[in-house]
Amino acid sequence: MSLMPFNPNPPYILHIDLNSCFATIEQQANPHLRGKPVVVAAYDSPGGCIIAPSVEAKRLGVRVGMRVREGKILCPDLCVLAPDPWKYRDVHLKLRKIVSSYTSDFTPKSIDEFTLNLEGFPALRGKSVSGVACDIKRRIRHEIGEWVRVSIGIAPNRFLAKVAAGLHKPDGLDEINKDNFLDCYSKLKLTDLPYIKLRNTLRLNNVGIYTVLDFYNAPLPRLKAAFASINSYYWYLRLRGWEIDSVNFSRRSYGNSYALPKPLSTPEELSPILSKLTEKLSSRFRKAGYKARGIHLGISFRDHTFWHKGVGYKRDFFDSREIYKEAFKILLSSPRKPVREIAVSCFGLIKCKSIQLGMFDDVLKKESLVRQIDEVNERWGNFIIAPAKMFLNLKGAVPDRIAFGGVKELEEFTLGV
Amino acid sequence: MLQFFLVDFVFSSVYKESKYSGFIHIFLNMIQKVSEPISVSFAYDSKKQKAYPKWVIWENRLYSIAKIGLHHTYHEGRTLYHVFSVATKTLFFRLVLDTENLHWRLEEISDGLAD
Repeated sequence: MSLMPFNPNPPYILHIDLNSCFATIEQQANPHLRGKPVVVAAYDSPGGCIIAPSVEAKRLGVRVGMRVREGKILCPDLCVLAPDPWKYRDVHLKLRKIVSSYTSDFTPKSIDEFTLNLEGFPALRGKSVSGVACDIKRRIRHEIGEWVRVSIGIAPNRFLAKVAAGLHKPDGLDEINKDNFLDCYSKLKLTDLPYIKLRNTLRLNNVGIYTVLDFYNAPLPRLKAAFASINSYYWYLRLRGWEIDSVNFSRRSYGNSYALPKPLSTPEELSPILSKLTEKLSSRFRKAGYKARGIHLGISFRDHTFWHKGVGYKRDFFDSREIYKEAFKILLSSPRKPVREIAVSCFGLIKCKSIQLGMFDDVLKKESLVRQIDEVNERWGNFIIAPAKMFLNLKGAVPDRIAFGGVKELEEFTLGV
Repeated sequence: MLQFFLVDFVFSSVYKESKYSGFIHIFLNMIQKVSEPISVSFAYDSKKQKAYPKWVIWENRLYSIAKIGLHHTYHEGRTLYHVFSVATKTLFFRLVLDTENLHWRLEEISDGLAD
């Protein structure tokens, strides 16, 4: 059986990656930090988890996921900063504004990544795709800041554009096309490809695939033997430059989590945190016009075990107090052990303007009250009106945090832009 | 005219940042979180359509702003805050303008060194 050829069409997909995003933005904000090893950590205490090392810190071996104390061993002069979510969201919005002036077919893949499809857009009139990429780089330096550098990849599909963006970090501009793809593949390891980590490497090794060129040259049946799923076909197409990743997944849940600085165990000790988490997530999904039909609680314990339970309901939830009550019931069934992290989420989201009236509750009155509380909170800031329980033993717990892996949270800040 | 007078007055009543400023702030931690009112001179350039702080007075010393690192905004409730991350020759200031009352606050100061 002959292999499918590489996509012969001109490359119109751009992948923009703001490298070491949070640390770079901090260096942009504070010029005294430029050129120095800087990390942004979830907490700036020695046990805090590093979420973004700067390019300089990476060169010294500091990696995402290390503890601050480990980073300080590798680099005693390491500057450790706590996250400043609004700073990063603001830069994301500025970046979004720039890319939206070239095409309406763009997707934020995360806080620091965008993919753009330029095919058929006037931005290409009189300009090549790489010309547009250079223009975007120039505008980012001018409109966001001279220290903010992005690497841009150009390819016929989203996957290869992402691969190209990773070829020369932090300020690269590379293209993978029908003429140079074999050369590019020959310089890459399997783990350089997005989504190929240890387990997928082992799968591929099991069928005699050890390099990216082996991967490309493998016939479909061999890939089927490796992945034993539809993924084999997706990989077959991806590596040949055909589009398979142009999919936007709809929102299925809202969640908030909190890593506890000290080990609390009992439901009574955990209840203020649970209250704040439910307040936060329910105000978020109400704002987006949803109601929920399921509540999920996940707990990571200090002994590295994990417990979780999700419950589906026949009624719709919108009131934080009811969500808290149900989440607390779930919490009561959890093991009594010191907790490291607690996460609450609501699933079974429905967008429905009408509401099922109850026989015993005045649901309309309750909905009106919740709406008015939301309006007051929106006017004066979050949690100006909140359950008293939320403030028990909480001193700034559950601070604002930013999810830099997922993109769903960003919808909440970009809908009005 | 009045503006020049005010500037002269401020200059004469406060210390200017100098090469000794680093020595003066030798006890400053790398990053110091604060929340205190601060005097800020703010300018608007109609040709470039840019607004920026020019100098600040902190602890009775005047610091000319050498560079605007980043300007970003956020809302707390309906109140819009403008945050200017700025650098002088030796220090970094995070200045926040409350657009509800046009008051400035200093929220962070640092010397760019590790703890």
